Amino acid sequence: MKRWFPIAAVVVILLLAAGLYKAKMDAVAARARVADLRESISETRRDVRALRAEVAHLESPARVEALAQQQLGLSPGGESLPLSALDAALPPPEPPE
Amino acid sequence: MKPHARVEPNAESAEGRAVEAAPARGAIRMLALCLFAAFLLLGGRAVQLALREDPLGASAAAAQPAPDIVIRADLTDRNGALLATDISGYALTAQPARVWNPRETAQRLRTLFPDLEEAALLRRLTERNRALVYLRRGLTPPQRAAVLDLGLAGIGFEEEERRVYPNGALAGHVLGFADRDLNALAGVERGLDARIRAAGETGARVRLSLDVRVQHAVEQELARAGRATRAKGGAAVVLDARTGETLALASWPALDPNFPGAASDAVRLNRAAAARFEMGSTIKPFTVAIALEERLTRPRERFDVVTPYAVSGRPIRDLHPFDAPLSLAEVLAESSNVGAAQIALRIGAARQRDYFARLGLLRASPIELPESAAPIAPMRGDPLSVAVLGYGHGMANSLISVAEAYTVFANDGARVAPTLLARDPGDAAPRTPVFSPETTHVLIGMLRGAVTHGTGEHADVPGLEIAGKTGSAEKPGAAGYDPDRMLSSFAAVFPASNPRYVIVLALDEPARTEAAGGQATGGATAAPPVGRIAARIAPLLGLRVEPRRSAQDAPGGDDL
Repeated sequence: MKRWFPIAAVVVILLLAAGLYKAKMDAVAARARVADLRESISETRRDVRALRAEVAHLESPARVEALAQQQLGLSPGGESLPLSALDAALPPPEPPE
Repeated sequence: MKPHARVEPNAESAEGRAVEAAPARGAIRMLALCLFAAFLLLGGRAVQLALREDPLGASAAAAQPAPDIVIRADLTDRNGALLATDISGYALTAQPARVWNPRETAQRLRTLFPDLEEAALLRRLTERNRALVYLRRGLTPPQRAAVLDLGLAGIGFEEEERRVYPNGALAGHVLGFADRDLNALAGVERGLDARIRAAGETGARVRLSLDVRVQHAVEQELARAGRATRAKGGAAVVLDARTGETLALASWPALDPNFPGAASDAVRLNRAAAARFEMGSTIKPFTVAIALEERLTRPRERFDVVTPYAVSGRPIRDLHPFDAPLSLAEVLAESSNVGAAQIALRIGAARQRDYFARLGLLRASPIELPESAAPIAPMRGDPLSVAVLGYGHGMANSLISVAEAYTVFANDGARVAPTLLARDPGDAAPRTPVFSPETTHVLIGMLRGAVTHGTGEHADVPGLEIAGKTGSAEKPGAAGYDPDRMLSSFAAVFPASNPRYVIVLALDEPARTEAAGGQATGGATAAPPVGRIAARIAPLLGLRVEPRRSAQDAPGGDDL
């Protein structure tokens, strides 16, 4: 019994060392993954900022006014368009899925 | 005997060693026990971590994402519409030592960027003593992809942030601009630089008081009036006088802050804040208000504007002669210089200076624009200076400064300083009392009369109860005041029954065009666009238009 105890202890220590090594490798991989994700988040945020700028450009009053004039014949201070005429002028809504 | 004799001492020795080793074994056991306890603790913690779903609180961290840090925070209007943001761009670079064929590289790059000069490009590509040279900045991702497709050796990119203004020229003078290194150079960008940078570090936005819809309407009508009258330039301001929030501030010709370098100095000039003008008759309401406040006149007093009038030997003239005396209200409605000069002389230099200071006319407007110009106000105090100041000459102010002074008519006589930052609900604006509510009430009635029966009739919009005053100031030239070069303006407060908004618009040197009835006065050129602006922005401001309400219903109308 006394002879097996040191052997068992050595095995346990080896197993713990192997576990520690694996945990360390997992941590390194996780760290790399976190760095990738951070870069991806940063890129996505840059894209979001660019898209928001594009949305703001597309929604700018001058552009909307020009489109309203062109597509619906509406001008600032002019007569408002009845809803029925607006419905006719705008494309139909997407059918629900 | 011999062996026995040999064994005995050995047995004694072993026994002695055993006695000596006993405490060491105990110590080893203790150590083993400690190690076992430590392993047990570590093992237990490992099991605990393994069994917990979120051992390190990762989901809690993920639920609170790190702020989107940028160098300069986004600028938005009061409703959240984006006005300025940082986006990623690329700088086109070259490592001259690695460029194979500089001439061919330059030619191929010019197929994508024809604005690059070939000689300059070639010079940079052959600077072998430099490790890296910049060829062009501000490339968009598609432009970068196009350069990559060329497959040129030694050509690379550096990522950089750049400031963009997605609405183009809208509010260009207010927003200002930043250089390629994102250093603020003009406008709100510079006026609020520290706040914008601090907000950028926390991923927050800076919410301005502007309303892009109001700003667009004001810019469009200002440009339309400027073109129609062939004016040199123009400016307009819309204030929520109760809070001091600037809803629109426009200068024409417009400036696109995305390309400030392409604009001339005349275009870059913010005529609403940086330019100073002798405003002329738009100052008269203050003269009348001071006299009423100090009980130096009554609304029904009549002034002799028929007899030729001179101060210190210098004649004071009206734009058009009158054939009968005018009441105080008519002095305003008909914009009589002679009447205003007489009232100013009653006020005197000291009181005039004191009231003008309280109206904010003797210092630069505190609006968050570095361009906000201090007035040219010598305030000499001699009778002639006091008389001409009574009708807006001898002092040059920025348009925003005059708009600020007009806030007294919407705040029961208190002035509210303009701001370009949106106020939170309940955040009361500081008020500087100038006139009593009674005086203000009478003045609003008179200003309404100036629109319904006076020089400002072209600003009238049925149902909107616009009260206001025209200004037609001759500009000083080398040989005195020049009747052919005018600063034509109109200052409005509306709705008269519950004044809240101030609009001031000025046209610099409008021509006597047919569209304006052959006149260049404020009533002919500046009043109509103010009326159109009010009509366009009223629904945006939530104002209920009541066409049946007449001028007589306005407060103070009985005093006319």
